[in-house]
Amino acid sequence: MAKAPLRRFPSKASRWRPWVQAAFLAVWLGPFGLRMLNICGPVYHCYACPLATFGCPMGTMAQFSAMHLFPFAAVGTLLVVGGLFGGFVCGWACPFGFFQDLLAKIPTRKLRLPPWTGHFRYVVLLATVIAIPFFFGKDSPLFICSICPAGATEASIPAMVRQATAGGWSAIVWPNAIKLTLLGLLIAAVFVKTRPWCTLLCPLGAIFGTCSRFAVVTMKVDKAACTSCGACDRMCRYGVRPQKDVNHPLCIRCLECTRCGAISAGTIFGKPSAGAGDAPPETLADEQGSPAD
Amino acid sequence: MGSIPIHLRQFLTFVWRCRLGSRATAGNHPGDAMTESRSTGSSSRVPIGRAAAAVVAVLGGVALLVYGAAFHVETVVIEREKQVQVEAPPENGIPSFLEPATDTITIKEFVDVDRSEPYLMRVAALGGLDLLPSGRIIESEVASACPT
Repeated sequence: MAKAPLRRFPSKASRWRPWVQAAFLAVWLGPFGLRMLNICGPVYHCYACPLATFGCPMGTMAQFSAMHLFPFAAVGTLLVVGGLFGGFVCGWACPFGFFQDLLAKIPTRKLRLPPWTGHFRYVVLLATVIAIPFFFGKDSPLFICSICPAGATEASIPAMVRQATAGGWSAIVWPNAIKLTLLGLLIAAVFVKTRPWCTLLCPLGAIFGTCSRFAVVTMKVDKAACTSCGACDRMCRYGVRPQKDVNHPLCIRCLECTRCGAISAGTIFGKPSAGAGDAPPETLADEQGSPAD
Repeated sequence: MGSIPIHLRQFLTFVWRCRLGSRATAGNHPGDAMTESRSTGSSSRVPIGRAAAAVVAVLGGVALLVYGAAFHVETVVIEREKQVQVEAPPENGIPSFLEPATDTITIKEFVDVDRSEPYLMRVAALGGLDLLPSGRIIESEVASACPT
């Protein structure tokens, strides 16, 4: 009966997350056939996807870097959305994150990597989105669009299916081998690590994760209510320790930790609450056992 | 003169208290939304530096977005076909004295055009932009829907 409190009091918000992700997916996939590639979307979604509604911010930034131009509109979009919502975009709106979440529904044992592994995302951002396009152009094999697994999933594979349908297997123009290999590795990694692309390599996640530090919509820990039981640390599947750093750049705002009454989501202008979660911290501590390390 | 150091000290104190990632004032981690008094553990206030960073990010983003979407233009080179009239070669080697015969031929020329940033974003998404060795950007025929 020790697990009853968690099952009885799930976080209301996190319960709706898959549905919100699905609703956003309908926006990014352009149900009305709109192709507004001249507007930069705020999520990691390939603009070469036949159904893409908006342009990909990373692809746009890389293309502009290759042209030695500054992407004012793309950077502005990311600043506005990141400044308002930060990592909430990753957890609630990103279609590629949703794809990984769906794959992760297959129950396997997941690894917990240390939070510093998230710094690879900044390397990917600086290298494949900015530096390599700038110095080597868009024909470089390490240009972000050439290695992007989201592009492989959303654009390359549909294009291959279309070509095969039209002219048979011989008509298929095989996309970049690196891209398909990375996609295969990513799909394999989903079964051993929660959201491997988002937490290890995503350049857009690096930007929004950084924005989480100061975004208007944020997470809060009520220290008066926190018993330092460490239950929130164990609940987090992304390697974040909410008790220590609730606005860590790796956090995608899944709100699982808000099941603890000491952690809540709100705005930086709102009054701190005693926690939006349903379960009091001591209940979770009883349920989760002794604090980790 | 004597008040300057006091103002300077007050200013530095203000900056110190407002800085992002202040561990000194926060029971929470650096960058958290609210800070707490260490003595009471009660929630108190939002660091003004963090609120300022959020406002600067959002307003700066809006400014960049408006500038990029509405005002930013770049000059790119496009290859355009142009029809010109040239004197036709004489038929049977006999020139016409009444009216010179002309032919219309199509030639290609490179012209500079100003393109807005949203237009460039769309063309770049379709793989239609290339950087010339001279540093100029050429807008080419869009060959495929995928730049890679």
